Amino acid sequence: MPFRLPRLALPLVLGALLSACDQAPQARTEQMLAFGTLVDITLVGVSDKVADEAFADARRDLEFMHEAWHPWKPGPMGRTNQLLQTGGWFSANPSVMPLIAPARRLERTSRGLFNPTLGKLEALWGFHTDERPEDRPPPAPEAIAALVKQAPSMEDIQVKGIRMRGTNPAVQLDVGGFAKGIAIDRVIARFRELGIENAIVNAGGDLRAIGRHGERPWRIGIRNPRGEGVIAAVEVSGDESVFTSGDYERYFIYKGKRYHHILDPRTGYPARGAVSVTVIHPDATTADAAATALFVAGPDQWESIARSMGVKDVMLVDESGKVYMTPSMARRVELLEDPKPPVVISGGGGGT
Amino acid sequence: MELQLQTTRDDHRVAWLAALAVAIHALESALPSPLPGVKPGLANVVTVAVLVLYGWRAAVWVSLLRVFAASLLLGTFLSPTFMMSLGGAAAALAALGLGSLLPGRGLSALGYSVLAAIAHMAGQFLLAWGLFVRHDALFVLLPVLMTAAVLTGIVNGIIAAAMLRRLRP
Amino acid sequence: MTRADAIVLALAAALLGGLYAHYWRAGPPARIAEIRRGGELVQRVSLDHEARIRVAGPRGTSVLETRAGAIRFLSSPCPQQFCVHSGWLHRGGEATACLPNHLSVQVLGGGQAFDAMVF
Repeated sequence: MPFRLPRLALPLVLGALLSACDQAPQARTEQMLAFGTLVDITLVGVSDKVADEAFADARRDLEFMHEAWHPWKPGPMGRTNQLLQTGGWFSANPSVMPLIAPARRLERTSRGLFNPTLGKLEALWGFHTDERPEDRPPPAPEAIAALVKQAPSMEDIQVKGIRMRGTNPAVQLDVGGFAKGIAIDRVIARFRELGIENAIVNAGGDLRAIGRHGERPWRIGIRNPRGEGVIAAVEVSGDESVFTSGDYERYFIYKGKRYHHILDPRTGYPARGAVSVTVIHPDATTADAAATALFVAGPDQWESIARSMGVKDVMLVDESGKVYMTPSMARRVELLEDPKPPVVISGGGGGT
Repeated sequence: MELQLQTTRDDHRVAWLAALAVAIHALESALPSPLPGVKPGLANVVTVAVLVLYGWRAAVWVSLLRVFAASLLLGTFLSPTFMMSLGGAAAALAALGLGSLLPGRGLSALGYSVLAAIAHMAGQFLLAWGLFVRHDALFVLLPVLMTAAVLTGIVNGIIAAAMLRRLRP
Repeated sequence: MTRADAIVLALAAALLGGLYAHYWRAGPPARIAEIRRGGELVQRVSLDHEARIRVAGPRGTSVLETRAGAIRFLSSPCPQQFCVHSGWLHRGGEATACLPNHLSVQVLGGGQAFDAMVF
């Protein structure tokens, strides 16, 4: 050997190499039963004290919002719906009031495909119970048509200061289409107040992520709506929500036909055409409403509705397994299915 | 009339090697594996030695003898484990057959062993996937399994070469 | 060692490299999975042997199955069977849940392919 390495060199070199390995940041994860579902919260780079407070606040706030906005169980939303029926002015409930403006805006930008006033229709279909009996048939077409004709919408709710009234007896607020989004936005806002900058709040498969996972972005897996496995993977960072609407979330099967709970306000029947829609958008409220609205829009109309709602990253899977994406979504999503499904890239509001 | 079978020295040797193969096979079956029935193929040291000494046909006989005899010994005859042993042996023999056709100096015990080991593992893995497990998650195990196979092949090759040096001075 | 031997060894090395690169892109195989009920850890299971695990939830008993580095819901007392349809979970971070029965499963180790699942 031309020269002798000092004996310390080897362990030093090994140490240096090992330290270059991915040092996982300190992450705290907790799963809780809240908002009627399982909620996973991951916090990164946060002291135990702050993490414990954050988890406790999240649990409490989610439970509060769940009870306040429940579409059919007794509570503030139930009382509001009763008062809306009367047609007279009443003092708006402070828990319900903050939902009205975003609901109105989202109904407008989605051209009515997102409609949070379909409580009567949802109840007619039997989705306003915890357990829908297997042998209960779908509602009669006449009953559905009658409700659709009455055309309930957010336009039928008037607000003046802190007073509210309903001008259409068919209106019953059911905010299931975006309640989770609003709840998650609230939780993230609270986390920000606590100084938390890197977190994921995942409520039953819909999430908002802020910051990053240490040195790398958050890695999100999107489940296959029909078969097994993971259909796609995507990285999110900064401030992004990933929401999916699917026909597999709540449904019943009657005489071999599947009826799911995402109703098309125009027909009164479960929306057809799409099997799942995934949306990525900064705030969870819009992401949630958009996932619902674009599901209703289906493979034919989703592009124009995505544009009018200002949503740039959309992935829609139709009944044949074909995948539709905006160019922006196609750039960032990695399809994991083998063999790859047919993909159509179109739409997308603005940007190359 | 008494029947006396004339056995040659070679016959004795083949029988001894076959018995050795059965013993190795039996011992190997005691080793744990992430995928039940899939083994690195330690007994192939004998397969390769027989191939080099007595040709491919002899190697086929000894291998099949080993698989059947070992399964009867272990009580796994016609079980899934038996299928895996048979599949691995068949794949290894096929690869060895092709390898023995190489022109020139061809392969030595080392090359044959590694070739046999890879074919053996590939055969067993595909059988396990096709017949028993059938979910794509299984393939995550393949790199480790194949590494064990290749290492076994190299070790087997060295041992077989040493054996051959002693068996044919 | 002959020239043919050397070629076989070189091919073997290339094969191994290719296998690791291809199948371990999302990290090495996962080691354990965590089963939770209502958020509370119920059981940690090792994924390297075959097992059936019965877990009780508010709706009844769900049965999970582990095999060759993966875990799945075999059966569950829920109407939509989303958990069962999810199939085998094998990547680190992959998860699914039986929401009606308050049960969730997540795979740990193996390179953390995912921080969260959307469905």
